[in-house]
Amino acid sequence: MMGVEPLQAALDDGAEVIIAGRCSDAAIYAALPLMKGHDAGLAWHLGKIIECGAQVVEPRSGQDSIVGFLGDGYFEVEPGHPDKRCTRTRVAAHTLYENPSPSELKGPSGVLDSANAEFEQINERTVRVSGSRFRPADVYTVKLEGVQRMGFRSVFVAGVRDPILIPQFQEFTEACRERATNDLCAIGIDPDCFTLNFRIYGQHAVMGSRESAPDMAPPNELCVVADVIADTEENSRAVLAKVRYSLLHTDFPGRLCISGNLAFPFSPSDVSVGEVFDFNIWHTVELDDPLEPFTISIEDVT
Amino acid sequence: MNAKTRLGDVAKVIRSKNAGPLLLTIDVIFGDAETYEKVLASGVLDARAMAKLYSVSDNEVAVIPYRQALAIKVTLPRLHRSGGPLDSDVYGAQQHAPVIDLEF
Repeated sequence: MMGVEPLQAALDDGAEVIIAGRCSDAAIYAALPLMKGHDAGLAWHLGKIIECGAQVVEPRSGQDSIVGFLGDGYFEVEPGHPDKRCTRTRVAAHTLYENPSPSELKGPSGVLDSANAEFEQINERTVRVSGSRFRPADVYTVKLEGVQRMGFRSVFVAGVRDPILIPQFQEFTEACRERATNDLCAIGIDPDCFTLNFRIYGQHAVMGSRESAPDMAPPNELCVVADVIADTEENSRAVLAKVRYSLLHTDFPGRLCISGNLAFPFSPSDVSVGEVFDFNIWHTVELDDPLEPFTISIEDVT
Repeated sequence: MNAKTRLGDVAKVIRSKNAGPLLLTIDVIFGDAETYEKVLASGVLDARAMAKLYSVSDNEVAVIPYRQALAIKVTLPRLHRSGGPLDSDVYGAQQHAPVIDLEF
């Protein structure tokens, strides 16, 4: 993830538009003011505040723009839209955004320290910020991110409305998993080559084992997403087909709905959603030269 | 005796988001210093309480007040890596909900 230096090198080479690879969000906006000699704390903090455009604008609706002004010892942000406003709360809140620490934003060349920053509402639509500091790092580092391929995913979405099935749906899906696995073994698809995850919306699908809300009366409908990841797309589709059949047509205690257990909103029901990846590299790399891993090429476009 | 106050009734912002693919960060932001100080002093958002709420151990939770923004930030490990096979919230944007119902 690059810092300001490759962007500055491209600007130095005469680039008017930069199409960059993975880059620190704030660096996009800090690159030019730093080249012009502005205070690094303010330039980086302004970059951080406007990194998501109009996220600091109220009222929030649709697409909008944000304007940042760098002054001597402060910066100001205000919306491009004349009827909207930047508020102290929104601007201060964005300092914390997507960052593990509220007042230290680590970048390749150092740390933005906003512990002593001041946020001031100078009129109803403009916020002024001062007091941010930049602490240069002893060693230049870039973030290195990498993933490994975990397989191919196929899913279906289905509703459940049967009041006899809903209270026992969790156990039912486990019985179906066993049945589908046995059926798959019979056609030569080994259980080791896939994973099956039932995401049951209405029953802790969003927070999983971290759900702390007390159990409530069963809802009158559930949504289940059957999620299969297999070694090949063909296998993921084959596994999902068996799982679908199993969920649709397996008996459960008290079953009256013997023609089918699921309400499919779509036909066809099964969707291949492509490859699945998992982070396996999340490190920093020390560089002697901030440009070292970043290739820059200039194109003339007419 | 004062009645208990629900955090969701006095905070201006209660949000969660990824801080990288491995960490989840929850921001609770107030509109006035008095409420901010009260919540901070109450301990409702201290590391032990948050660790319990999110089923992690105390030493995996960082609670960092940021007075300039009248904000309390809580950072903890994600349940699964963002976008990984078992992840249920790729951006971590809906993991704040239990905090809304905390009382102090």
